[in-house]
This record gives sequence, C-alpha cells and structure tokens, in this order.
Amino acid sequence: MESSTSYGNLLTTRDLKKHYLVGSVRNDVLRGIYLQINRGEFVGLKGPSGSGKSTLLYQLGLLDTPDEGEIIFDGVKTSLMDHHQRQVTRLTKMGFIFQNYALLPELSTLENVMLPGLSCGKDRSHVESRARQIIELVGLIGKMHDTPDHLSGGEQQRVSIARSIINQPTILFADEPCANLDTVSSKKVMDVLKHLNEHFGLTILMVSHDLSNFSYASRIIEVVDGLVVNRMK
Amino acid sequence: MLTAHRISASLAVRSLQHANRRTNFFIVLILVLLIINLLLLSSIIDNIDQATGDQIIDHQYGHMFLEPEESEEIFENPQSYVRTLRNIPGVIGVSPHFVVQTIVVADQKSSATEVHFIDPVYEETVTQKSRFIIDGNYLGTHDETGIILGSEKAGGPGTQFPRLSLGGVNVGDEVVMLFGNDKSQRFDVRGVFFTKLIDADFYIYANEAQMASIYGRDLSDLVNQIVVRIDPSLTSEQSVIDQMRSKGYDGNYFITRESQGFVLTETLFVIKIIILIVSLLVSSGSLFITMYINVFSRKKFYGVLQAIGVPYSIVILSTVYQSLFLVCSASILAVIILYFVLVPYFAAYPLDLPFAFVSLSIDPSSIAMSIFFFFLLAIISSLLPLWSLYKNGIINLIR
Ligand SMILES: Nc1ncnc2c1ncn2[C@@H]1O[C@H](COP(=O)(O)OP(=O)(O)OP(=O)(O)O)[C@@H](O)[C@H]1O
Ligand SMILES: [Mg+2]
Repeated sequence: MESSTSYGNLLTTRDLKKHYLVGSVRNDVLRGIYLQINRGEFVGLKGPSGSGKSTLLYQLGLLDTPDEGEIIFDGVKTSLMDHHQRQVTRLTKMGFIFQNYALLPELSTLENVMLPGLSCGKDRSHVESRARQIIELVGLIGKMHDTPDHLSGGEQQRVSIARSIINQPTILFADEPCANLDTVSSKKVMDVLKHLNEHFGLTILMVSHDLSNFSYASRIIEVVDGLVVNRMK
Repeated sequence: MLTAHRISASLAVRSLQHANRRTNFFIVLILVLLIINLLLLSSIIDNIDQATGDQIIDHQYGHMFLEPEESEEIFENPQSYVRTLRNIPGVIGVSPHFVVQTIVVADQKSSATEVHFIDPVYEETVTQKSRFIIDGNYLGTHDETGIILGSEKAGGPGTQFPRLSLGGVNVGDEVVMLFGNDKSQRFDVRGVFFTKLIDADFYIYANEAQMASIYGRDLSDLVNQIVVRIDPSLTSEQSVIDQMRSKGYDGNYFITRESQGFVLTETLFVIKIIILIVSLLVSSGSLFITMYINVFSRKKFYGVLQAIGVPYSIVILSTVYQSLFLVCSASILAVIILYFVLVPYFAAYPLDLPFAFVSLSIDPSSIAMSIFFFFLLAIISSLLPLWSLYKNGIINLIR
C-alpha cells in the first residue's frame, strides 16, 4: 500500500460530506469536497467563518470521520482503516497544529515534544536528541524544561509545531496556527513552517484568516458553504 | 512494551504532580474514609462475637467443659479425670464442679436456682470470678459456709431481671438452701460479682467444703461438670478432647466457642453480611464517582493524547497507574490510621456494650481483601469513563 513516489499526489478527497445535528437542526457543513494535495506543497485554506475549514481539516487529519465520500492518503483509502491504523497514521505520518496549541500542561517543552516519538517505541536517547534539535530549530532551546503555562502563546505554538514534526510526518495540518498570536510571534511561527516546507519538503495544509500568511503558500484553496469554490496558483 | 510502561508511568506521575494538590489530597481522603468504613464495622462485629465467646470462657465454662455420659449422673472416678486433664500439655486450669438444683431462701424472697460447689483455688485457674467481685470478697479456702453470687441473682437496684433474683441480698446476709435430699444448709453471703454476662451473673458458687455435711461426700468423688482452661497457643480444645478419649475417658465434651452463643453468632453473622453489603455498595459507589470525576475532569488531556496518536495502551496504562497510586496512598494511610489510631483508641476505651467490653482487632486478611477489592474497583471505575470519553470523539474532547 506504501506509495513509492516521493512526489505527486499525497492526499485526495472525493465528494466529502459531513453534517452536524444540533438538536433536530441539521447543519450540512461539508457538502461534497473535492481536493487534491501533492507532496511538498504548502497549501493555504481560506474561507468565511463557519464555512467548514476546521471540520475539513479534522476529517483529513483522521480526528473525525466523514459521513460520505472518500479520503485517500498516501495511496490508502482511510475509510478502510480501523481504529488502530488511524491512530498509527496520526502518530507517524501526520502532524496537527491546533489554534489553541493543545499541549499537555503537565509536561515540559522537551517532554511534550518527545511524547509522540516515545509513543512509537523509538529509542529514548535517539528521540531526545532529535527533540533537542527540533526545539533548537523552532528557537526554544532556552525553554526546554518549562511547562506550557510558563510560555507565551507564540512559544507554545512553536512547541506544538516541534511536537507535530518529531516523527517526520508526511503532512502537517495547521488550523489557524497564528490566530492567537501577535505579528512578531506570527512571523516566527510562519518562518518555521516555511523552513520545514522548503528545507525538509514537508507538505503543509494551513487554514488562516490572515491573508498575509498566505504569502508563504504555493497554492490557496477557498471553502465557502462547505464546497471548494476555486483553486488558484 | 517496557517503554510503554515507562511512558505510562511518567505520564501518570506528571499528571499527579500537575493536578491540584488539594484535589489529590481530597481524593485520597475520600478513599481512606471508604476503606476504613469498610473495615471498621465488620471488625467491630467480629469482635463482639469474639468478646462474647471470651466472656463465656472467662465466667462460665472455660475453653471447654465436660459432663458425664447421658446415662450417668456423676463422673466415675472424677479425680483421675482431673489428674489426666492437668497432665495434658497446654491445659492451664481444671476445676471440677458439683452442680445441683436448690431452693435458696433469703429474707426477702426465695428462688429455685443452681448452685456450683467448687474448690475456690482450682476455680480461679479457670474462670475469672475473683477479679469481678463488686462487693465483699472471693471465697476463702477454709470458708466452709461462704457463697458468692452474681449480681442478678442477688437482686437489688440496677438488676435487669428482679423477678428471678433473691430480691436484694447483701454481703453479710444469711441464706438457707434446700437440697433434693431434704437436707437444708445455712450459708453466708461473702461476695457479689458482676461480669456483664447475664447468664453468669445468675450463678451461685459455694465452697465444696460444705458438701460433706449435705451429701457425706465431697468433690473428690461427687462431680458432674469439669471446666477446663487451655493456652490456645499451645493446644486446641479438640486436641485435648482427642487425648482424653484416646485414654478412655468418656463423657460429653463441649467446646465453649462452638456450643455457646450460637444464636448470637448467627445473628451477628447476618448483621455483618448486611452491613458489609451496604458498605460495599456505598464504597463502590463513592469510589466509582470519585474516579469517574477525576478522569472526566481531564477530558482535554485524553483528547490531546488521542489526537497526537498516542497508543491506547499507553493512555489506559497511565490512567491505571494513576488510580493505583491514589488507592495505594489511601490504603497505606488507612492501615496506618487503623493500626496506630483506631486500634489503640479502642484498646484504651473499649465499647461498653451490655454484655461485654468490645475493642477493635482487625484481621489482616480482611484488610488485604478490602484493599484488593478497592484496587480492582479503582481500575474499573477509571477505565469506564475513559471508554466513554473515547466514544465521544476526539474533537469534542479537545475543543
Ligand atoms: N461539534 C459540532 N457540533 C455542531 N456543530 C458544529 C460542530 N463543529 C462545528 N459545527 C458547526 O459547523 C460549522 C463549521 O464549523 P467549522 O469550525 O468547520 O468552521 P470554520 O470554517 O473552521 O470556522 P472558523 O473560521 O470560525 O474557524 C459551523 O456552523 C459550526 O457551528
Ligand atoms: Mg475553524
């Protein structure tokens, strides 16, 4: 099932649908999403608030399951994966960055970053040295042993980026990574993402409201009312 | 797998460190109370049972007693019975009795009653009468006309069954006893004892020295009951019985703990089971709720672990470790409180129950049982909410 190519199509969706029920009111959030993302791309995802961007990202990141349609990731239909395969895929092939960072408040920077590495059963010293490298890369070498409540929002988001790439994923999903950050912090976060994309060929799908962040993107997809409206280069 | 345990353990440690100290403290406190609740009542009931048996041993029959075969009125050659019993290792006291029905006539009232003729010195090696005299003295060896009697038989203020008493005889009073062979005899009341064991407090003991003038014989060949005290650490009642029988000493042998207080033991057993079931239910309910809330309050923690793809085995293990740590601390604390606070307290201030003083002794095996039960329950009650959290979906947990 492993895709043999290091270029070309990485993620495809066909007619992806998802609805929520609030009481008896049906809200069709995703109404038939078709999209394709190639390896090495940095794709921006934009759209009005409530258009379903986060919902889409959750389906693609295997955090939720769509009602209908298909997601093909790295040559595998995700609808055929069981719980365990989805968990392993999230752990080893996908990184996810949340607007609210989603760090474990009980762990230090180093421990937060190491956790997914250790969870794969990798050798501890190997994981630790890689974690230190990544933490240095995101510019937090001095905050190695601080817990999240001692870090600023921008720093926490960079910890969460570091955590998301410890297992060298094929794709990184970022849901408004800079929404809570000031311009200086935003720029630092965006620089890190750009660096990962350019130097390590990491595929990135990023949701943002701030169009200036899209200057890093190679392509922008727009979602309106649960449908992809246009694609532009 | 070892790494999984290591990750789980360190996650558990970090969670506990990070959790509010007071939260951890209160959880442990609740668990301590639940464990003690589970142990305290049932062990008090055990002790009531134990204490009742002790009372009967100390005030009526010793650890065991024997009576002649059904067809016989008295022992044939009682001295050899007594001698043989005394020679069995572990037997520390043997006292022959001649128990006879009399009518006791006092100034106020007369009453049909049993009298035990005893040798005061031998009797002291078996029962504890001499230590429970509340008025007057114990029987002296050469005090031929002396009797001692229980407070209920004596009657007077504070007795529970005045109708069965002699209406209030005191030390120094005279009573006359009428025997079946038409003899009558005058006795002097030397002492009144009070044991809290109602049956024993109806007893009358007379000195065997007076038997000769009534029956023309004494305890050396007129015996219909022999009470025996043993050192339970050296021998058992059954072993003494077996040794006696093997030497050809027939008779009706009774083990006090088995043949007395049967109704009470059964009643207590039923009460104990009911209390145990109720406190098990209460404990399980409370423990379950405590652990459930503890896990549920950390929704986000579990959502994040799931979102970043941490294997379920690690998540489950870390939760189990956390629960185990809490139950472990609680168990240790509970055992310390039981052994260093409650047991010494009850030893110093035993419960003053109507028939005995009851203190607290806790059976280590029942402690082990309840702690084991708590561990099991803690694991179940932290894994169930985890399971229902997982059914919620990741998104709903990390929102
Ligand atoms: N768990 C849920 N239950 C019910 N409705 C939901 C749920 N999650 C999202 N929705 C609804 O689905 C719609 C799309 O939500 P979503 O978060 O995907 O939008 P979005 O494009 O990310 O918006 P924003 O830009 O504000 O983040 C919204 O109307 C939202 O109210
Ligand atoms: Mg959103």
